[in-house]
Amino acid sequence: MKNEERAAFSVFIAGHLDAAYNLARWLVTDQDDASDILQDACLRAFNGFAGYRGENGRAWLLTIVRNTAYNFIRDRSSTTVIPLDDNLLAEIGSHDDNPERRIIREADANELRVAIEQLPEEYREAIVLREMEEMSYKEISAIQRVPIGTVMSRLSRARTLLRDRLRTKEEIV
Amino acid sequence: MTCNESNMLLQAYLDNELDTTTALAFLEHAATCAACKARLEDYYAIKQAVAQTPQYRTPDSVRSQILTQFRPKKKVWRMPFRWGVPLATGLAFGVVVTMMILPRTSTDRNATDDIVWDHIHALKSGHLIDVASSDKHTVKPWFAGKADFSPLVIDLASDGFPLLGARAEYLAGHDAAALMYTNGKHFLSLYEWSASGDKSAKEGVATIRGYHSSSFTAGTMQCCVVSDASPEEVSRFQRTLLATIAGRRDE
Repeated sequence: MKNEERAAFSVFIAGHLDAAYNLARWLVTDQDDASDILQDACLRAFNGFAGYRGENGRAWLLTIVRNTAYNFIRDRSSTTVIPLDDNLLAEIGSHDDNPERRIIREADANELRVAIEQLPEEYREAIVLREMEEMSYKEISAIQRVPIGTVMSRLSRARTLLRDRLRTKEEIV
Repeated sequence: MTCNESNMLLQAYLDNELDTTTALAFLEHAATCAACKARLEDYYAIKQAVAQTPQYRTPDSVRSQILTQFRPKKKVWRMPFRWGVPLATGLAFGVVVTMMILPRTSTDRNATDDIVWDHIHALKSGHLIDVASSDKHTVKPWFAGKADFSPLVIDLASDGFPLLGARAEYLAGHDAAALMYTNGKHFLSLYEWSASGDKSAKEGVATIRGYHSSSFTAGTMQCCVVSDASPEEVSRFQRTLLATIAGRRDE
């Protein structure tokens, strides 16, 4: 790579490092693994940077990060990866809404963190991209390579699962 | 609107993905339906809670490792040997390189400081340009007699960086051209001076007082772009500029 491009890349990567790390960290839920993934993803991004002339650099980088993370997760788990079935989880999500049961606004941050970590990967990823990286449905759809409707239902199910987990906690207390 | 429809629109409403008319219809229904209102509040609370979850920051050691790894190289130093050459040569070489690079880096920083300061000063004083034009045939000749070189003047309006104009500067002991571009609400100053007077080409990025700068060479010009736009935009500016120059040469 030419030095000009190298300079451009170093500006680029410095600006998006935390977003990339945050996504990796949520996907693999481990600091050391996330650091390895970040380094691997940065190298991939560096190698692809010369050919990249798109508009949305952050989405481009995050796509590389998530692909690297999923490869890592697949390699890590010796057990078979069960593909996510959106319909299956729809059943978990559908139930009556009882207005009496209120979610506490000040949900314990730690409990929430654990609840997010327990979400299925694709749901967790959608939630992180939406709420922390503030990406639009369109951007998330491009990163996850699924239709916008699927992004919306993933967010919906993710939020329903979080609500139910936190409610259960509340009732036990 | 039925409760069923309202339920289907709930997530898109929360995520600001509805058009105004639909959003209003959604709110109108929620105002009159207790169940839908409760559901909206529930999910809103969840959304807020998740959004407020602290984000992870890259560990410092990892950050510095990555930023060092991709730091631009001083272009002169390319390993002139292969695997077979004794390690000792490599080590000696490394020491020499380090000794030569270290003082130079600090000089670069001072020069960049001056440039960033000049950009800030221009913004503060409101004196952004001496010649207002996006036309290179106006800007380029204007520098005749004002600088000891003819600057590269390239309008990047089609890439989102329209050229406002230029001013002549004298920085770090040499004439410099400062071309002013905009990008949304941000200003970018592109400083150019003749690289022939300098023995070393300067490459690299810096963030000083919240302004991002990137130094690079373009042909016989030493360039430095400074802006409060995001590092990504600064990087894109540089790439677009270099690509445009490269495209011209091929023609």
